[in-house]
Amino acid sequence: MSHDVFVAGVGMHPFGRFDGVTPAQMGQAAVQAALADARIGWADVDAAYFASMYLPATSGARTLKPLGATGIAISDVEAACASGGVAMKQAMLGIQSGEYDRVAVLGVEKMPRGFMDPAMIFDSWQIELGLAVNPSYWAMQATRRMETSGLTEEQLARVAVKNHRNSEHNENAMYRKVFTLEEVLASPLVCDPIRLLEICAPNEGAAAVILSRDPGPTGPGRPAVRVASCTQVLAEYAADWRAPMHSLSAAAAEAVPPTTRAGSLALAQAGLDLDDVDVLEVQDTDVFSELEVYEHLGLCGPGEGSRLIAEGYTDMTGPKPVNVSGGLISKGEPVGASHLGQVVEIARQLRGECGPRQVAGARIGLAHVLGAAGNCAVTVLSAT
Amino acid sequence: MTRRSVAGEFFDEDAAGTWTLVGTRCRSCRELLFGRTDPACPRCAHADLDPVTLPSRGTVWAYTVQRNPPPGQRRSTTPELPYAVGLVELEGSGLRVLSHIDVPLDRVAVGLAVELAVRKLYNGQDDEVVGFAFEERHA
Repeated sequence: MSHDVFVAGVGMHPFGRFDGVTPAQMGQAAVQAALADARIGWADVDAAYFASMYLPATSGARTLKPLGATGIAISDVEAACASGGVAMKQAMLGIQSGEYDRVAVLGVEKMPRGFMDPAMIFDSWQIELGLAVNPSYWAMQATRRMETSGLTEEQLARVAVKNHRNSEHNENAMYRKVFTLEEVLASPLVCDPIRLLEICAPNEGAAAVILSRDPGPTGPGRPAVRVASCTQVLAEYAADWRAPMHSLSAAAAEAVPPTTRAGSLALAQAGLDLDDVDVLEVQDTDVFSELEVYEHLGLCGPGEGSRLIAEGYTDMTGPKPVNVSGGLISKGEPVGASHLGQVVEIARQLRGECGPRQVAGARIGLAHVLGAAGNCAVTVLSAT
Repeated sequence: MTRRSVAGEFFDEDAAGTWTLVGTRCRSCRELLFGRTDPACPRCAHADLDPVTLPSRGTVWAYTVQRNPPPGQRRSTTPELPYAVGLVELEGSGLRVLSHIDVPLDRVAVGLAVELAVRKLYNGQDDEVVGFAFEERHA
């Protein structure tokens, strides 16, 4: 019988642009906030996992060792946009195995402005041919859907309107401005049909979680938050549109998308159905990605994502609120920190601490990330 | 001036001087693969892949339009903004290849008939480096 694993504390450094602030400073701020939230000290931590995609070797050690050279294992992990999920999973496994009692999980990123550097994930000939523009892949899929099954620009824009609206009260988001449908549709095209207000920006920030064998501080108004499951998968052959891509096989039709596999595995391991989930944070790299996640997680059937957004099904007050934090479209995507930022939001939702963006009575929440090479992670938390 | 492919394992000139996309076919599952760099079939893990020449005709299966300069270290000054990028489904193969779709933007659409074209990218030391694009095919 494996051990229960709890989220004993959470902390964040806001996502945005912070000139002159080092990644180590952002990471230390997030971890210290999480330690304080868990009411423990750094000396109580048995191991640490550090997620990032853009930071150099030993960034985890250089960020955390200054808190106290306690000699614990500090491991850097990377799996593109799913890096934070991998760190969560390794920490969970370390506690379940009996080796550790408390593990710090930290994601930190500081990315250059503009498109992601294609040399990290593309071949040089793809760059020369002008094929290495990261957001193209989701945009191509959206265009195909518009021309073959009636998806409209307005339906896409509604996702951006929802997520920007949700961000208004999130002090950790990069953008906190509410936009009308007309304003979203008037923003410049980046990769047709995806527009500037419909896509997430690479940026900076940090998020931290203390996972623990004991529930940490609990009491009236603060339920214990348990890690019900955490899964990580890589896309099967031809199942994914994410970079880097030079071709796609018609065999894609037979493959199960990584979001479907990671999501159904996470719910099965948690002993839950999607019906049980009260609040979701998902990978909204762009507006079409979010609609695709609805379909791949099973919130609706294939091709029905546009109906859900039109009906308000995933609004803050709808049956399945999605990206109540504002999503990556509002927060930006500091890649290594993005999943842990989702986990912090879900944990706070389950504790009822989210003020104007609180989903009433949320007891179970799901966080999802998907990125380069088809790396996908899903974490399910439950209030007990 | 002699012409050299920017990626000979994906796009190459045959003995007769015809430029084509090249790939492999898996001997076990018959999957058709773009390029000759895979050490084994990514679909079924079988190790025996036979070199093939890929069809030069196809139709646009999905596309987007790039509105910003493509990122990264590049020597090529083409394509010019804005330009269409998409997946071309090669005739009779079920293989969809990512490519510049070199047609006027008001012509690009899912289902458009296209054919392979050679495009100069930049001058090498004593040769010309070329890549590929697809342009509209007229019956």
